[in-house]
Amino acid sequence: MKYMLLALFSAILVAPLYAQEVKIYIWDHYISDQVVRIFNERTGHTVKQYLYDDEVARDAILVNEQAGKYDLILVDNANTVSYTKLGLFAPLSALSLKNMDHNSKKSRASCGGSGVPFAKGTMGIAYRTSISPKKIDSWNDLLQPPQEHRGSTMMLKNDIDTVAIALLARGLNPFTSDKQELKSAYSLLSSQSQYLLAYGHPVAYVTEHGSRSKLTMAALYAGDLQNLKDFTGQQDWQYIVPKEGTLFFVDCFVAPAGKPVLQGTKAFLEFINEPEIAYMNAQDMWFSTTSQSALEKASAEYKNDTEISPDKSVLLRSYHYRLLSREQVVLRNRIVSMLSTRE
Amino acid sequence: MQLRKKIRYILIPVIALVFTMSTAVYYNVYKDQIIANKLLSLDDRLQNLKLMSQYHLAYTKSFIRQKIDSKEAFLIFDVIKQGKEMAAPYITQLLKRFVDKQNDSNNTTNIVNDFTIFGFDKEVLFYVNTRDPFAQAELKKQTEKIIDKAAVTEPDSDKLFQYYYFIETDSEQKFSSMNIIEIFSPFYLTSKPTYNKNDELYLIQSEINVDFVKEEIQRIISEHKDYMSFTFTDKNSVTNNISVSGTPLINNNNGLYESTFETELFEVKFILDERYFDDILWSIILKLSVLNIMLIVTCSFILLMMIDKQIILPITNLAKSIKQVELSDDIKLKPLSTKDEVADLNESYISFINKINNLASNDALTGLSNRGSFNKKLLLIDNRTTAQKHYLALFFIDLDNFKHVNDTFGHETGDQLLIAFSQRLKKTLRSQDKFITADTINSIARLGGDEFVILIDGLPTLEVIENIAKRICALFNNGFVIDNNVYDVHASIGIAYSNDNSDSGETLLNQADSAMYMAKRDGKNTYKVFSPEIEAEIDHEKKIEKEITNALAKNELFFVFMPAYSAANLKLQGYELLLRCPALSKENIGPDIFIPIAEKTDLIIKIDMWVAENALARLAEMVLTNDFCGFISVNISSRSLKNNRLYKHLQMLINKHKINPKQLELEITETCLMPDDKKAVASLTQLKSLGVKVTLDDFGTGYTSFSQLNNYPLDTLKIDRSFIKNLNKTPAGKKPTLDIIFELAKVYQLEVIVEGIETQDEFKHVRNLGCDIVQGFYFTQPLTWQSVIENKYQLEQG
Repeated sequence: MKYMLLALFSAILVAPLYAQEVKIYIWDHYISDQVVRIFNERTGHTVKQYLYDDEVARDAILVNEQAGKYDLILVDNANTVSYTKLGLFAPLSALSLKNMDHNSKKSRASCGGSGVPFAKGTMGIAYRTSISPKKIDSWNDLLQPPQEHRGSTMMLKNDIDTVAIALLARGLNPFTSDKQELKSAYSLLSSQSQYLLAYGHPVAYVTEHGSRSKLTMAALYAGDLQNLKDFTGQQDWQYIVPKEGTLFFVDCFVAPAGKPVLQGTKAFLEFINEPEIAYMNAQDMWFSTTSQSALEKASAEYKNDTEISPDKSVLLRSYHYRLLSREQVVLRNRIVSMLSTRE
Repeated sequence: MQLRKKIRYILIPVIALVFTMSTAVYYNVYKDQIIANKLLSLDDRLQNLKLMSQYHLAYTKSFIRQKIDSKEAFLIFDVIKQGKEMAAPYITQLLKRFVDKQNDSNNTTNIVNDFTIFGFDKEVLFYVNTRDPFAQAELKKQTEKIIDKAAVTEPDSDKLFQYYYFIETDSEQKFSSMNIIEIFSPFYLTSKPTYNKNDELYLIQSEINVDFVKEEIQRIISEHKDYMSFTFTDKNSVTNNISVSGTPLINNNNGLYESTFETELFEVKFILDERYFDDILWSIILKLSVLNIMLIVTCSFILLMMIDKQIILPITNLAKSIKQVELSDDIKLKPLSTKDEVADLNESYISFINKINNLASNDALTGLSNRGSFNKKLLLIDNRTTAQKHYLALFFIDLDNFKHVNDTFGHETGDQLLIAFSQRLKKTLRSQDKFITADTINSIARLGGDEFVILIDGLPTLEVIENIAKRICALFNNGFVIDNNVYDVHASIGIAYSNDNSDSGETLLNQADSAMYMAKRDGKNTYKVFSPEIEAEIDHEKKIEKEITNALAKNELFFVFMPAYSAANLKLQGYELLLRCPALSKENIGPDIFIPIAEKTDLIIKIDMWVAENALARLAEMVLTNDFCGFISVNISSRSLKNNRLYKHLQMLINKHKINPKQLELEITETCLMPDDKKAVASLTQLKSLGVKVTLDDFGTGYTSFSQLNNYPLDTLKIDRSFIKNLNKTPAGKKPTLDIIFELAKVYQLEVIVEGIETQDEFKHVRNLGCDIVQGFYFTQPLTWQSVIENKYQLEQG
């Protein structure tokens, strides 16, 4: 009885006055269960994750003013800036988060005034090494897959990234406005579709199909490789950043505009930016953290992993996200929308 | 022609005719239906095209309205209304409604080719091309006209319609695109049919995707290649209402079928040349012909094969078997197990062959084996090699007196008798002796006439053989009875046997024949087993025959003359000419022996002729030389009575020698005359017509009764010499038979000659009786011709 009372008391002591549920719209497998549990233990607030597996669906929610259903949404830095301009997101910088400074300057700049950096990474190719003797080291290997990978390859469907892959493969600037260059990228992408298993995010596919997955190659964001291995049970997956270079991305937490930011939300942002928590999560989920302080605590294995830290020479040929004009966004959207595996 | 070929010539044309006619009838029945079906199907497709077009248009309108009414479109108009900057996400979200392949409404074919929202200031507010991401928006002329019209006319003059439609044609006046214009206002429901010009209006220009119409038309045209075409007429109009109408395929009597597909904007006319059906029908004719030929060939093949197997093969097999049977005696036709006409034919053939075999080997009347068949059996006896412990016996049966039955009762009765005898003979043989079985009887045969033979093998003893003969004879005890009629017929049986295999079949047959002859001579209804004695007897007869034949050839026969005297005064009345053969006379063989032997053969005829010729020559000489006025008598055989050669011969000789026929007496023995022998009577009557006298010789030895004597044309009765010899044996007080015969002869007014008188007592007795003429050694020995011609014995003795 004495212990029970003690337990009850301590529970009341720890719990805030209003325990809140933080609704987060995010990629699958981006926040570790351990981190969520610790957050709950420490603050009494709970985290409810709503998952998306492609940006198209997410962006539709953002534009359709349904974003208000969520407290936090994870958006890539390009769209963060783009939608911030439309006034869709609340200015989180006004919260003056004390742990915000642990993030690198670069990442903070990428996310702008309404975004809080969470993860960063590269875009590359994941493939099963046992399928084909052909060395995969170029975007062209993805666009014109070797025989063994045909019919079992997946391609990202994302206005910027999809077109960027084709432009990079052609040795062109992924943010070009040149119509001829874009046409050549479109033709490359169109010819690729016949070899594809599907368009979309490979993690979503393996989550659905598990060990019955037919996937052998895919365009992938760094940090998702472990998911492929875990869900398929296939340990021969490998991630590379193609020799033509890649795009760097930063994923930022944003909060929808026109809605007060809850205490629980603020608590979560502070919590996730604690260097220990940030590292724990990055290591659990195996992605590259934006937290400079967390990186300082990281193990050599983490630091030297190619997925986490690509080859320097490749990095030299790579691009950071840049804001495109409305016409360029629309045109890229038209191009990507036309792509279909004609299933 | 072979049966097989014949069937082929008959069957194949019939099958071909039947199938070809059926095919022709089928073709004619279905020809019109094929055309009608084809037209109907084509019409259905054209009708379907119209329906699809209508449906597609309605669906397009609904599709466009759905886009305008969407949240994404609302946001765009909201941004425009608020005068805010049109950011990319607003546009891309609406774009996705048209082109994103993950959207169900876009995942098959595009409903529209492009979609542009214009403001009435001609500014492009939204543009999407569903095929080319790089395409640019274009304000089409007809659209611009509508916008311009709205701008220039008076605000209240007329209203704008919700929809306008127009088509574009390319430089060759061919259909290029179908467009729809929809005018709407965010302030009204999009279903509003008309708008005022001062409403806040937007205009949608959209090119409808009509690829499926174009493709279907192309498909229809190419499927009817060279026979179908279409014309497209642009009506150059803009309409706010569109409806689809048309006419079905109709023959315009110029050999063309026409169908129209019409809207307010254009007209499409389809033209089908009716020669198209010729091609279809030709191909059907071709197919049917090929099918027809295949059916004919297959059917003929199967039928011919079945006929061959079921009918021809059995027939040819039968024919082959028959040929083999013809070639070999050993092979016999076997009955077939099938139950059909071929089996019947086989059966008939078997029975036919059996019948022929029967006819060839059996006697038609009695069913017994015939002579040919029996001879084959005899040959088999010759082929026997191993010595036999038992006896092989050959019975030669001759029916005595059968001829008489034939002559008296007719041939029918004779045949019945032969049949009855055959049956009884078989029955007797088979049923009554344990030693006789079907195996042991080699043959029962009728050799012809009344001659039968039996060949039996495996008999144990001679006694058994004789028993068989006895049983056969027993069949005739008390005459042969058929249907209660008794016929005086008997059997004479000769038996030959062998148990050492040394005698040939023919030998046995001859032996049996000889034995039979002996049996016949010994008396009726008896048998004789061939023996060396019989053989000797036969040899003896043969020798006599030979001597006579020689004598005839050398003309060595001669007469001796036995004088005949009047009993009253012993004056010479004439001579009985007695025949002598010099070679036989040396052995004391007289005519009493050699004449019966000669009578068995045709030798006797020759003798009779010789006798007649020489006797008449002698008579003529006697008359000429000695003025002889008595008679001469000669003996005539019974054989000569059976033909009229003798009659003709005598007639010729009488004329030749100019003889008084009354001086010639012909003697016939009583035994020659059978009771009621009409033929003999006729023959005698004929001879008597020559004027000669007829004497019945040896009277009393035969069976002729006195009552019968009246039937014969007789002049003289010569009483047999045995009655003279018996005179002294007659008991005292009894009348001698001689006397009785004499008295009866006299009753019949016949002249009576008594011969063989050797004593005076005998002569006295005869003279006392009143007998006319006497002969005998008491008076004289027979005389030689020399004595007669020299007239030495012109008797004057007492």
